[in-house]
Amino acid sequence: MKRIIAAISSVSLAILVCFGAMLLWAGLVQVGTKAATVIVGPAGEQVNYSIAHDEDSAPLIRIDKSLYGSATVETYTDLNGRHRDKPVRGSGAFIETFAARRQSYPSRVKSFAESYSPREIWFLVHDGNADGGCWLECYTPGIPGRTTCLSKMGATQETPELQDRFDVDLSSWKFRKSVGGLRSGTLQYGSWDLPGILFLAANDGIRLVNLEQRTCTLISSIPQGFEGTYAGQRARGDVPTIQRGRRFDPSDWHVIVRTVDSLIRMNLDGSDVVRMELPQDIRSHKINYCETYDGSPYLHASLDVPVFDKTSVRGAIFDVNSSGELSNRRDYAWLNSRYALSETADSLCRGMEMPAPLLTGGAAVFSAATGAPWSPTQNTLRFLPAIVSGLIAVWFSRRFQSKQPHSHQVLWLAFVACLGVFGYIGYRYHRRWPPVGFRAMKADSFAAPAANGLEVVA
Amino acid sequence: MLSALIRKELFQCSGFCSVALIACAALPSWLYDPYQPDFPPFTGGFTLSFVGLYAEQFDALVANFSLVGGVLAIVMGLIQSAWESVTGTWHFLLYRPASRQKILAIKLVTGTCLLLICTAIPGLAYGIWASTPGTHNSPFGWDMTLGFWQQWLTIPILYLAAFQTGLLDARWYGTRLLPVVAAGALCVLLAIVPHWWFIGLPITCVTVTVQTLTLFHSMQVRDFA
Repeated sequence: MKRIIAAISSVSLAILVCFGAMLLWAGLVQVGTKAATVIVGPAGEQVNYSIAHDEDSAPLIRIDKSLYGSATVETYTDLNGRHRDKPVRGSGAFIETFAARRQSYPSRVKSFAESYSPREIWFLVHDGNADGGCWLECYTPGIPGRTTCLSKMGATQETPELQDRFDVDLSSWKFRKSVGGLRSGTLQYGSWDLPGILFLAANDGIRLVNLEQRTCTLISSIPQGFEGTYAGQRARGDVPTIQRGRRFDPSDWHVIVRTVDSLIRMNLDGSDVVRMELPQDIRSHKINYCETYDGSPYLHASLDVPVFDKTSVRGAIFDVNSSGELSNRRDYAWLNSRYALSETADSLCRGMEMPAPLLTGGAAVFSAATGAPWSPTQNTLRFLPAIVSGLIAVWFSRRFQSKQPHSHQVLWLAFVACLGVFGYIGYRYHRRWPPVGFRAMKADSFAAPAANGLEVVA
Repeated sequence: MLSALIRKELFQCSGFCSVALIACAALPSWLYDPYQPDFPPFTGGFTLSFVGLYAEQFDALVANFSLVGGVLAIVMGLIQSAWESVTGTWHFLLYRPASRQKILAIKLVTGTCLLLICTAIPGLAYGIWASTPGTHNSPFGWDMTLGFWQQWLTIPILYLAAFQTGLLDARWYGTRLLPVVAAGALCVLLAIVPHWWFIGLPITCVTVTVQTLTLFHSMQVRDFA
């Protein structure tokens, strides 16, 4: 038992020292990498493409070119690559609504900071139970405790009963208790926010909650799971209502709902529902639904895949007819630049951060298991420092062991080979070693003295 | 003799515990934002999970409680081990009619209890304040404090690592402080690990057990001459 405890103690101490040294080294490499990036600066011209619109509501490609630290030059082409003049800002403007895929719950609830009552603070509170639900609570500074609760049944003073709570899964709830605080003048997201209005996407449908009037109205029961909702302002030919008087007129607004396979547009009273079924290959994409002032909508799907200093972007633009059918598909693909390390530099830095064969192998296996296997360049540059570190550590350990023989030498060699130079530091410095060349005395190391007749024999 | 040893450990550490408690008591006034009196206080520029307006980010007050607790754990671990070497008290202690294991056990039990009590007081006081109606404009439930108690349970890892550092035979500017670095990183990792009660708690228990075993072994074999 004592030997087992001694072994556990030695190994755990060696691991603590090893990982302490490794963390310090990783921190140094990180700081060095950042400093080198700042000093040297990203090289080359940065080019970014994006979708824009011209005065006639036709989609354009906007190209932004810049050198690091210099002004950006923007040019425009049509979808066929022909040069176009820069559109006049504001003319032919679109009201663009956005519904990302798989939003977290707080993103699915649009929180609005409005001026209808500057003294009210609202919270969406979940009861924390897997089969439970949530409700809204209002607090007023100066008045102890909450002033009111809002549930499916409207305003109450008490915490709503389970059946009256909004049916929201706890799995999509990131927080322990409170989420989505609303307070006047503090969450000013922009001119698209509605004053005192909240759209709540629950499992049983979308509700329009009017915080000022303390009402809650079911505007749609969609049988499929929501992935996102967005309130968009109806396209009009003048300045948006919300910017003029900040008054809420339901007829000015519509709701876009993203489900697994479709996009649904409807009025706030649940009427005029248009369902746009998404093609299979764009269901994992980010979807933008755009509506022109003359009422002709189009849909823009895009998928960004960042790979080191480039972002691969591919997508498609569709026209949408009045029944929601998508037509006139126009695909596009390009590479955008990013201010990030190249594959070679990034792989080398990561390889140098933790040059331990065991950890590098673990990272490679984990990466492959999560569907992102390393490329040959990454494999080479991330394993190289680890293997070199392991070999150097084994050589140092063998040299040490030749001067300082001790038990379990092979096991310690394996430890060092797995954890590289830092494993050697852990092995070498986790305990005090006897002076080099010291040999423990053993009973048979002594020759018996020759008998001289003076021995006392008991 | 047992009570005398306990009193000695309490006396040795109580000053640092007092300083930590004073620091925690001063934190609310330091983090309070007088320009936003309607907000739940102690945002410190962040959103809150304990008492707060928005969620998903950490509570500045609770985060600072944990920081003070971590520093206290390291100081107490070093004081109870390395400081005894500096002042030569180990020789006095080992000369008592008690085994090394017994002396170490008294030190660890006294130190851990004192540390856990001192680091629990700020969180408990904050929770009691937050649960009192009218003190802030936001909802509160005691289950919001789970994150704090999870971090509180990992503090002994830092304490034991610092104690181990004090018993190590190494240079201060060399490898001696490395166990504290590794333990600190583990504590940070445990603060963000998902499903804490199923992943974080077992890791904490195993780590504390191995650290305790290692300490007893180090105490047994260490040459205090």
